[in-house]
Amino acid sequence: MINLLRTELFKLSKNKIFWTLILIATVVFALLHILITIGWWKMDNLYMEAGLELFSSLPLATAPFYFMLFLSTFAGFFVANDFTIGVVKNIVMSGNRRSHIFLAKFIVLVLGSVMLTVACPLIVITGGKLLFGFGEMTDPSALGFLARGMGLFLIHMLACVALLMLIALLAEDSGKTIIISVVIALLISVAEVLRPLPGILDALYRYSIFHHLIDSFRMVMTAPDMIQSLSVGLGTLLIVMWCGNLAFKRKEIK
Amino acid sequence: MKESVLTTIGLTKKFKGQTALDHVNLVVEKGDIYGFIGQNGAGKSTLLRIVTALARQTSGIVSLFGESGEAGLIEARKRVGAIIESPTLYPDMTARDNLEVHRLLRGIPGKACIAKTLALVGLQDTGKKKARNFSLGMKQRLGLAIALLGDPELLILDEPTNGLDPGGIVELRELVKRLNREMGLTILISSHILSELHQMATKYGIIHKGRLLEQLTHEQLNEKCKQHLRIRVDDPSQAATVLEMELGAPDYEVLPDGTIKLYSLYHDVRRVSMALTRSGLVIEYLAPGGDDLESYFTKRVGGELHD
Amino acid sequence: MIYVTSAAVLLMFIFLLRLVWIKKEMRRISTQVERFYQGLSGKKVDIALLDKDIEALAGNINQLIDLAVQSNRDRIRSDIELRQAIANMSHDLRTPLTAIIGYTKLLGANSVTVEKREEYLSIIRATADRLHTLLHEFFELSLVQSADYQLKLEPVQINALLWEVLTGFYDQFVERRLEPELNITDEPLIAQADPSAVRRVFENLIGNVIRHATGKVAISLKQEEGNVVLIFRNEAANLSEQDVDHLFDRFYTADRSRSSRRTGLGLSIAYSLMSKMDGRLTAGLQDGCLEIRCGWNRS
Repeated sequence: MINLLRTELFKLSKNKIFWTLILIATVVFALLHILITIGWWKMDNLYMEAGLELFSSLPLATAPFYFMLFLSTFAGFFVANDFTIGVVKNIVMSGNRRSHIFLAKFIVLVLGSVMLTVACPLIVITGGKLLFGFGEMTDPSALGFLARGMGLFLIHMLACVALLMLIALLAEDSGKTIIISVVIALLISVAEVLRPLPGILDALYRYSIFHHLIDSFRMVMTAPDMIQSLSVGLGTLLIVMWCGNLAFKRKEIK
Repeated sequence: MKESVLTTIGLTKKFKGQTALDHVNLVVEKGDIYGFIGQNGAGKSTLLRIVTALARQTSGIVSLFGESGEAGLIEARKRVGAIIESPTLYPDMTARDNLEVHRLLRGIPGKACIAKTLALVGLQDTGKKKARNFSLGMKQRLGLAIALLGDPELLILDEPTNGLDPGGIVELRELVKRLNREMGLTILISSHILSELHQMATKYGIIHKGRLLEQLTHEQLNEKCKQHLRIRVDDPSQAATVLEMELGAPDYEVLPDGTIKLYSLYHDVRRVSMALTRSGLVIEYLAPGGDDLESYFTKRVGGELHD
Repeated sequence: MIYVTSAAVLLMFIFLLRLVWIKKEMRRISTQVERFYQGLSGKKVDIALLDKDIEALAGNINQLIDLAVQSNRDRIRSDIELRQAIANMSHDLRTPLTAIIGYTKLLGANSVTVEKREEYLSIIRATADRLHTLLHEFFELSLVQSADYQLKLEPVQINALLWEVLTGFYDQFVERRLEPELNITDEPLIAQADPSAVRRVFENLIGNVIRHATGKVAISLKQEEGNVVLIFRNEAANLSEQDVDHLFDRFYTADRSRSSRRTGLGLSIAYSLMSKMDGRLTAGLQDGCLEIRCGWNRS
């Protein structure tokens, strides 16, 4: 397992697409952050109200469409590409359990995803504050809210990554993976805007990770709300991972 | 009795109602260079893919180094290096990095093995060149280096001569022989051209339409290819009945020009000639002769086609 | 305070985990080494690549395994070689001995005429001589090939030595009706060598040419890229590439059945002597001609 993790980490470190994406994510987010901080782009969101003006650009990074675009590209090139160029054959032949191979791939994929979607923006924000004094915090006690939001967001994002991995495993092609996941991201964005959805769809959507993903940063959350969010996130994560593992185990590698 | 490296018992694979492998019992022993021969689509790759865990059998047992349980097989696969179909490389990485991935994957301690393996296949001077810019021959050699990393005991090569020029084939053959002789490596190598394997294999398995028709040693193959009786008589069909009825030798073939090739009784020319003469046949020609490899293969495979 | 305590506990937990992991890895390595020396597996040690020291340990174990495998393989090979050598030797000795025994039996019969007796005796003598030479060569080869047989290298003028040896073979060339085409440079070529060993090499190579050459023979001595190179070239229609590859092997004869024409051990002795002088002896087949080259470094 350790060897598999090191292998995947080594591959990640040599993956050009990943570093390009990191660069793009950092530059794009830094640009937006500056624009918002200097007030050129008026943002009116909960961070302002909560006294965390510094983080007012964060909703951009956590918008499903934005991060799904990065993640699907990353998953496409990191997971599906292994199948396209056939190197997965060598990994499967190497005398490791398929479940371990799957898990190692997933862990490193999550690591890369977190770097792309969470670490990058946070580094830009804190870096901007420390180096240039960008943004301010009128109420530091609201940081607890941010931590809770981030925690929930991460769990739901994990479930999303698992889903992306499943798609990549089934599609075996980076292009298809990206298209399918972008379509999903589009659907979520549309669904969020169109709410309430008709009939059973609304209930389905309300208990999906997608809704909870967006809902993670709600200002006030009761304990039952938190439990619901957690159980939806973790439940989905486990189910999707189980499916992915099964799909990979059954797979005949071409 | 030599130690068995790979054994399959009743190995069967079906997909979409088609039988790709039909109760294959294959035995590769330690130190063999096992030539696995069959036409394209005969089931060679399917078998090799099951052995290397890329595909799963419908029924039957695979045993590697005496291990046939699930966990045991996974451990045993660490002792196997393989190239299935074509070598798969990371196109954006250098030769060294490609090997580093596989070193990490197999948990081989120390980076010394990378330089050693690259030197073995003659790729030590590729430097910063990315694998995507390699020539086909170099890609093949890097694939081989990956398979050889960590000194496996069984090397599986699936149609390794595909796409190689004659020079490359000779080079590969020499390397295979050297690995077998100097490092005692057991090698399972598949091809659809018998003569290509004939220069190196010590044992052969002939597969056709998913069935392993025959397993024989190099000596046995030579024997079979060498020895037969060429018979020409005035009435080939009557001769055929004499062969079957009186001599109990159904192992013959009638060539278009009426010549009969008898694959048994070649050491007993007297008995054959006497039986033929007794039936009133006039023998025009009767002599032992040799088959070349390719026609032997075609005959084995062709014979199966008709029954 | 509470932070410090929890940090300490966490740290302890991590160290404990690490200890457990290291112990587990040690057990795995130990099992693998055990399986290797019990002969259950020929696999080298693989590990979880996390700790540099464990990696170094496993790497060293693998070096040791390499050594063990190598020496085992060498032992098996020299075993096979020795057995082969003894088999070949007894074959080589048996043929003349059988002939001698056969002729002595004939001699023992009462009805032998005086002329016949003379003929048999001369055959016996010739065969015994050959046996004697062969045994002598066996001894010489084993001596030359042993590790403590050292040659004293000094500057030797190759041209003069070659002429000297060639002259000695004049009668035999005439007898075999061979007219060698000589191409020996006048420029004195001096190489770092042992004179008596060089003489022996020349004798053996020329002897080989005289025994086997059919048709044209060419001998040339020249300077090539700072080395002294001597080339023997003769037609050899029935030699194959494979024969040439084995030319210097101890017991290889191109055709086992024609034992009377066998090479003897001359070429093997020449090969060993050349290696002892840091020289090279190679053979190649070109357009049906056998080409034997010897090269020395110039001094």
